[in-house]
Amino acid sequence: MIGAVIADLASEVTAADGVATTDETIAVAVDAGGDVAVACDRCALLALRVADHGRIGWAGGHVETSAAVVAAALESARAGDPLELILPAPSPVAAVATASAPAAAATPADLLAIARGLRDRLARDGRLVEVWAERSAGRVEVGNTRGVALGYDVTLAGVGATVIDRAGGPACRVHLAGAELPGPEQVERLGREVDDRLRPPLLEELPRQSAFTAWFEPRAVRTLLRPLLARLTGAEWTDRAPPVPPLDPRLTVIDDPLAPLRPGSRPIDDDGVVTRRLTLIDGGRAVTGVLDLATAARLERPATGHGWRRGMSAPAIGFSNLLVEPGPDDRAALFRALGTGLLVADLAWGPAPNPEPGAFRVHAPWCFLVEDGAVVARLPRAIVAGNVFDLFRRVVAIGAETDWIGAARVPSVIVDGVGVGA
Amino acid sequence: MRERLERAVTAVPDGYVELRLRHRWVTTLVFRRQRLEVATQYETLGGVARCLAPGHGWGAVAFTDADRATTAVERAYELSLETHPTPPIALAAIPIRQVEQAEALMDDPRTVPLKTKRGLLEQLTGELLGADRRVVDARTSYVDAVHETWLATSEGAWLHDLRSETSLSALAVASEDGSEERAIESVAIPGGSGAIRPHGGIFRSVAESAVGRLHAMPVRPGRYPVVLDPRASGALVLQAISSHCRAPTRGAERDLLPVGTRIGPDCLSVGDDPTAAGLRTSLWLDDEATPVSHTMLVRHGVVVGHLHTRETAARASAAPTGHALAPALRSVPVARPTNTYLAKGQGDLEQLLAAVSLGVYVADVQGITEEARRLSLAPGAARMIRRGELAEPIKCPPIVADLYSWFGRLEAVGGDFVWDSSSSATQDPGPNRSVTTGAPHTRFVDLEIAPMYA
Repeated sequence: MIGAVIADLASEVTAADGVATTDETIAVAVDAGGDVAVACDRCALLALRVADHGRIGWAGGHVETSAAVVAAALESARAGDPLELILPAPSPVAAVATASAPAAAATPADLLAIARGLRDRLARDGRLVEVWAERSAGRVEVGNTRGVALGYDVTLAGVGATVIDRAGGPACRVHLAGAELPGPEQVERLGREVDDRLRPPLLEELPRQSAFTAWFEPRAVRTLLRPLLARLTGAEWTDRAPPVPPLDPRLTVIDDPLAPLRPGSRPIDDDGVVTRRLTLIDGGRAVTGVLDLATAARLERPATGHGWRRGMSAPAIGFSNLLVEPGPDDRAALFRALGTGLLVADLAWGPAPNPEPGAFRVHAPWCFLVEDGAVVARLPRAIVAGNVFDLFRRVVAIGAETDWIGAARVPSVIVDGVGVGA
Repeated sequence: MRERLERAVTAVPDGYVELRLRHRWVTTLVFRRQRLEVATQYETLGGVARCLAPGHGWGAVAFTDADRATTAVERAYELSLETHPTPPIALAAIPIRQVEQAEALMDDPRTVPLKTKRGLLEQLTGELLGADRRVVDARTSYVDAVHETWLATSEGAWLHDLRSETSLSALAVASEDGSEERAIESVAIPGGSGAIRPHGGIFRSVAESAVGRLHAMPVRPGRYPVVLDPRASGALVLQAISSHCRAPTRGAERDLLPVGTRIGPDCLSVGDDPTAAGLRTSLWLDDEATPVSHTMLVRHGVVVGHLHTRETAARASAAPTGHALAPALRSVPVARPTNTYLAKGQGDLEQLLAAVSLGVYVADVQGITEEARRLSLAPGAARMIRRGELAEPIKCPPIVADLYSWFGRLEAVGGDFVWDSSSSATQDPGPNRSVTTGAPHTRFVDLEIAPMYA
């Protein structure tokens, strides 16, 4: 599809590139009362960029209206800024698994079976359980006027639950996603995660201490990474010197588009740049950021293969699969390292006092008091505060086990001096 | 179009069928500092067919071509047959209306060249960056959209609606002596680029806000009377009250504030009015074709009503309120607020401040988050109140309290009611849908303000 559009444009403009995607999504949901809803969504989208008389234009739309998308891209170029954009030439790409045949073939009945399996696992007296399962299957085609023409199949499947304890407390939300359909082992892992969160007794009053050593589990670490990753994206990376202050030398973060069957896996980015594994933070020091083709051209740097251009969404720079390198400590060692402190399973990120320098102050409804290596209570009123960059300088231990949280593989991290209030 | 859609909703043998189709024309411009990052226009057509076969659950199919509406209805019917809820889903009866509101737009943004819109945003971005040497970064955007919506149901309801809206937003980052602060402002109104032009002053004021925060001192932790500006008051009411007065899906009623619950003093009255004139989020019919109605949620501190879809209304033996709204074009409708407001009381800001010898004034709100009815209001800007007057700017951390604590501490509601024209949205997971809030100034007593970062 994209090849035909690009070929038609080749004689009209200096250069053009684009991404065509097809997608069929099936979603099932079972609410707390047992009602089932099934939805199906199909679409084919086109994102097109043209370089005309040195000016760049961009437009997106449905494949069915590709002529209108072309016209809108040309109009955009007339209003756009000059930019010397050199499109990539065809290059060999690495093999990476991006789709699962069973996921692509899954029916509403298959997804309902997965959702109901999770619901049965989570059901208890006194709990309200809502579950959902979803899979999308489609194809991504990337092309440009220099001859790049590559397509790859993609699937994404996920299952999740919201569990409410009738006795009180916040809704407990868990989910997982990957290119393959979730199996019984992963459903069981979600079940254990919910049980671990809801089992400890509640302690409404916080201990009289304003700073704790805290064990952030993978979901919470993924959230804490947000200000750090923002500093490594696009012009944020090049505008600051240094973009990220030195962190604990045990911290290494990698972007890996070639990890098989993960949400961010792809052999080529949406700008036609071949993707590769990239170390972002090496031993606590930021070594590179991520750039798409247009930002790289503006900054006169090489593109890193992190362009995302899908349908009507504006072109964006984004990571693929993030890997935070694990440490040496198993769970028992982490409990020993923590001794007495807090275990934070998840964080509710929100508007921070000042996100520019990394300051945050957020609800931590899944925060547990640990005494002498054992979880003794949940602190539903806890608020966690600090500065992300300071916290990642005060690392006590990094876990050996990792979890995939969406497109990020993350270990637990224990840090010192975490501010806690109610 | 009407004939095609009305034929499609009769394509299945029985049950309820609802067909929504929307054509959108959107222009987006984004500047980073003085550099244009995005300048684009697109149009999209999409719809959703939703079926409820007798004795079964909902089946829904999204589609992107009006010619496939009949096929989508047939497939949605098949999906509905795959579900077996117990007891069966019932829908409350509604008056059947046929509404045509598709007259030509007075200020149609589709007729304005992209270059002209770019010129407007470039000029405003220049004003922001030139406002002060300490402004080191800016991200600005202009978005206009025209929506044409068609809705047909198997019960004979019909809606054809054409409307436009335009928004501007600006983020300014100021830096000096190692201190870095940011401020955000936005405005969204019905109409086109002609209507938005007079609101360009937000670009200069957002720069001034960011600079003003640079050397503000953190507030000393403690308990203070707090005065919220209308925007913060409206956001608090939306998150704390309207969100808990939306009838939920079956089994999840725990989050609902029961009718008859006292949550605040007599001066607290809250409603949701989708019929309010001149607001971009006002409606004729909701996404189930129910005629919208002004609904009181809290009267004199006591919960008196909920927002309903047809399904939740039938379950609660209540009347549908016209608040079944889909967060995105191809989503299915759930009960959501439209124009939520805190009813006005008496007096103005000066009178609310006069009773405060030492307190905190919250001017603007960055956002409100909630976990298990604990609400955290992050001030956008704040000042001390000293001897009844606004004093020096301060840095104020999020103010956290339980829902009942917030409104139990409400002492006074001003008479200076305004609708907030900033672009806002509810905090639901997934795609959001815009909500307008309206409120006057409010004063709360004895709210705890924690240390800044620990």
